[in-house]
Amino acid sequence: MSNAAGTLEVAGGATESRRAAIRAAGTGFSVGRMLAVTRKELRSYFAFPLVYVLSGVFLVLAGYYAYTDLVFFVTIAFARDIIQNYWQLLFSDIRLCLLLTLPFITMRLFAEERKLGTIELLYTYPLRDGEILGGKYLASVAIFIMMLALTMLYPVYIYSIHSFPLFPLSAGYLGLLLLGCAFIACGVFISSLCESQVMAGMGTITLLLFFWILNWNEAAFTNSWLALLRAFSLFDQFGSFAKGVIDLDHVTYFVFFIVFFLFLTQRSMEARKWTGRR
Amino acid sequence: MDRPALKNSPTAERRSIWLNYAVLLYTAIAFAAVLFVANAIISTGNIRWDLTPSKRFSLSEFDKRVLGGLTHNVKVMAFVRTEDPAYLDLADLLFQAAAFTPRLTYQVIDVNKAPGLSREYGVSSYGEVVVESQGRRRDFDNARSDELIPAILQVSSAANKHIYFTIGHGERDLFNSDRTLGYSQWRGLLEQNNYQIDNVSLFASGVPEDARVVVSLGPRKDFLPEELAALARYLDHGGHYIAIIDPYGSPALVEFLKKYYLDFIPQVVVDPAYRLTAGEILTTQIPLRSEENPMSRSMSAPAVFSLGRGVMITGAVGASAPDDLRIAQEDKFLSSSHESWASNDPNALTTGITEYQAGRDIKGPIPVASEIDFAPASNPHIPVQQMTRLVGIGSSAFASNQFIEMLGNRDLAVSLINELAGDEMLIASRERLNKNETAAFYINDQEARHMLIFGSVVEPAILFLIAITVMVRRRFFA
Repeated sequence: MSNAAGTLEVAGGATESRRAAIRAAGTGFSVGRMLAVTRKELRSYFAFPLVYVLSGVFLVLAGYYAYTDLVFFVTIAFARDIIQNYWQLLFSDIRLCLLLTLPFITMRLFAEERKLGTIELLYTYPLRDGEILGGKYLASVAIFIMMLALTMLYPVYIYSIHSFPLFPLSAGYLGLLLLGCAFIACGVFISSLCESQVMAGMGTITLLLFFWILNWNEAAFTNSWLALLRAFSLFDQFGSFAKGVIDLDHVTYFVFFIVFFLFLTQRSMEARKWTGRR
Repeated sequence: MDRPALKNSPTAERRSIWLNYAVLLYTAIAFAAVLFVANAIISTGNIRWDLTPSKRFSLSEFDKRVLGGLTHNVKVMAFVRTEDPAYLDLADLLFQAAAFTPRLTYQVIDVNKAPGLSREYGVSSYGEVVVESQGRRRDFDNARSDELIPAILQVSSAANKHIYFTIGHGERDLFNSDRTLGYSQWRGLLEQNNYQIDNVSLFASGVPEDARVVVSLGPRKDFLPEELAALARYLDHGGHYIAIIDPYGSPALVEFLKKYYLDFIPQVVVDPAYRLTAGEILTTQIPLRSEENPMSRSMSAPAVFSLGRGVMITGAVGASAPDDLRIAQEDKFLSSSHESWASNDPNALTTGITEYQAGRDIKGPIPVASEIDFAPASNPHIPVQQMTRLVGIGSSAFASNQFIEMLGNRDLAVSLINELAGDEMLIASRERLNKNETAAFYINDQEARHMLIFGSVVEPAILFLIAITVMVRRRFFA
């Protein structure tokens, strides 16, 4: 029997014992078990320097943009219309920082475990695939929220100098939150397919870039195709949040994007049972 | 759902794997399709929460009133360059307008992809928007997407609003498109607001019956007594008149207006504190604006006047004017700054250099735009629009092609006519569009650098420090 088939048997055996264990622990999806996975993931995140370094790099970039955009706002835009000339610009720049850093947060989720061989151990726990996935996803989102919260220094600092309307800002942050969650969902999926962390990180960036540049070359498409591609572009959907507008269809787009990639990840996790992949 | 482990023969195993891949693909596509359709259904609802203070990305009450009142179909064609991100705002506005009323349909056309259609519509530049209804057409620029609703109002409205400009006294020419001396841009703006612009000779025919507003734009020669009599008759019947008179222009008209308590003083206004950057003292911003008057309230920025004269109001409310009119209300709605003065120096106009001299000059602020409204003594409580309305402006240059795009001049030039013609909806629109999200504020270099240091250095440095600590602990103490 091939090596792959051997793995298949191990995984299959593990599935049987897991199923029995889950039955013993109680039926249905358990939030408690999912949160246990989240805690375990967070512990492992904070036990290594990677998350601190990535957050630091993210803040260096975001802080630099916050400063340069502020200079633009004061000098070129004559310090008028802070929403259009500062926050809109800054949010657009921060999304680039997220594109460059979040894939490195998600790349380790499955790929690292697969490389270290701990994935089989994880699959033998009395956990459903949904609970494992939910736990890992929530842990990444928690790290991302921490990173995003650190950027709130900029509005707090500017507000201490001069007050400005806060509601449009909250729309921008909601947009960043949804965008980041979408990036993470995409990253989790790619990580579930890869054995190499580098491949997972690069693959995620590539896929997200694809969603970004989807409609860049307007000349190549008719108007109806362009409208369709715009509807699929992650980055175009973010634009209204940055302006201070929450569009229900943009919110649902992000939610559906996240749900779709988590759905694909779960299918990918299930596929190990019939592909022989770990 | 968990599936049992596969333990069949290699061939059956392969077949089973392919089958599983097919099922996986099918499931993924089906799920994506369900999500796509659900998203498409939700997006047709146009449900949004505009959190900007002035709701600038949503239809205003004014917009809804105009769109809701459409009685004829309106077609909008936006000729854009799709690579230009600025067109997205226009497309968004068109989407909202079309979602609000079935009477409006629109098409966004890429000029580069549809050169034939562009040529057919006579469109030569990117960003031009054509609004059509009932065989009428109005064009405006994409950069001015705020003009969509006024353009719709214009082509859909049956009313023909006549504005007459007096001629025969060296007045400025609204049909002259000279870059500096012409006033054609003002005429274009007024036509966009659905006004029909005509010249009128008071000597030949008097003021026509259908005149909404009569304007004298920078007359230099004197009015004849017959013309002033025609003007007096017009005012007696509740006429709305705007006198825009430059320094030393048309003394007879100035004398005539004094009877109505509007005094165009001959001195030129100088305001060194508000002159344009590195510019002369005769061309200045007008910093003081009345918030009560719709004309000045709708301005997005101060006006810029060049060679302006003061326009004083010499009567109080209740003062008696010709034809038994009484002052019902008065307002000096634009004034120069407290540091300005009206100069009696004869060299001021020719050299542009003068100093304030007590006794000779009049200390500021000097009103440069004033309004007086009169009601008949027999009926003092009539609505403002039925009153005799008189507006005096001390400089014609603000509305010229050279100056009209400067700061708030465009708003003033259009709102003047809107207000006197009784088009409050158009004024309300301008006020909404010009309302700033926040007052301008300034952050100095040091404060900006603080942000750079805290945001880009201190915060990340703390995280890098933690990373180093974790690394050292793992390496040496694990």
